[in-house]
Amino acid sequence: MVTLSLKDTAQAVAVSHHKMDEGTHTAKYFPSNDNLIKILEVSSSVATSGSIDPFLCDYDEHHAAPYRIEIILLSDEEWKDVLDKKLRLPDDWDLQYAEDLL
Amino acid sequence: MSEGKLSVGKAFLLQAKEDLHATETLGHDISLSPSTFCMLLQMVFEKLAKAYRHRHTYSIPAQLRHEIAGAHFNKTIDEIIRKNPQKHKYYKRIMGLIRTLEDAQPAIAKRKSVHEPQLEYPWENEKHEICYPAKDFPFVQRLLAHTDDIRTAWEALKFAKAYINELDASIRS
Repeated sequence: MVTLSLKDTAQAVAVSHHKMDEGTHTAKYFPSNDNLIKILEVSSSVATSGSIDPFLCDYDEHHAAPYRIEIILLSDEEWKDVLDKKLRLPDDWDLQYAEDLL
Repeated sequence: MSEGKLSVGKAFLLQAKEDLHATETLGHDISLSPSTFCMLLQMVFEKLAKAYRHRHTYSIPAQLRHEIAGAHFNKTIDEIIRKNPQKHKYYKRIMGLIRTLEDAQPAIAKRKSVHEPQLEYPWENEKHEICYPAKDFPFVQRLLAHTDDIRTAWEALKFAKAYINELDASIRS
């Protein structure tokens, strides 16, 4: 059994979500110092709730990697508001250091 | 419309917001209690459907018991889909989840079979084993193992939040 790295796990999750939802056109990985995988996903399918609400989950699919994952899911409008600085990501989510997954 | 009087629809909407807040709080870390998260999410959509249905009602109808949200919510979702055809697959996914949760509402599950998995209470399966939601409800088990399903649940939450905002703007209190 091979344990995936944090980034590889993030990639696997993003690809899986893109496969489930073709509207997911952007996924970014935010490197962190602990065993927490942080992913921001933007989808043209999802509704605009107007707020940024990260959610945490465990990732242990097929026991490949025992990580916790934190995901921020944004609509196109919310992503535009983030880029226009009308909506703020949480403090420890710095786009400057984010890496593309898709 | 009665000026200054709270409509039944607005009351359901305000309670849906309250339930949504609890659902979001618990949903920030779904692993804490996925079964209760599912139960709360079902409650949010049930109240949303009733808010929509009773948005012009100003006294509690005598027949207001538990209503099958699906029938009325389906109509609402259908209307939204017609306006947003590119989001058809997404709505189909969310509606699948909403129906799964609604069918697990104890009063509805029992109508199908006493052995039917349900949210909230234990049940006896066909092998006469006692089951309970946190351990045995199929979608709860999936939430613990599949990020795709967690993502779908969160999409449903965002949809609920967006729809609450939309209804709030259209229901006069």
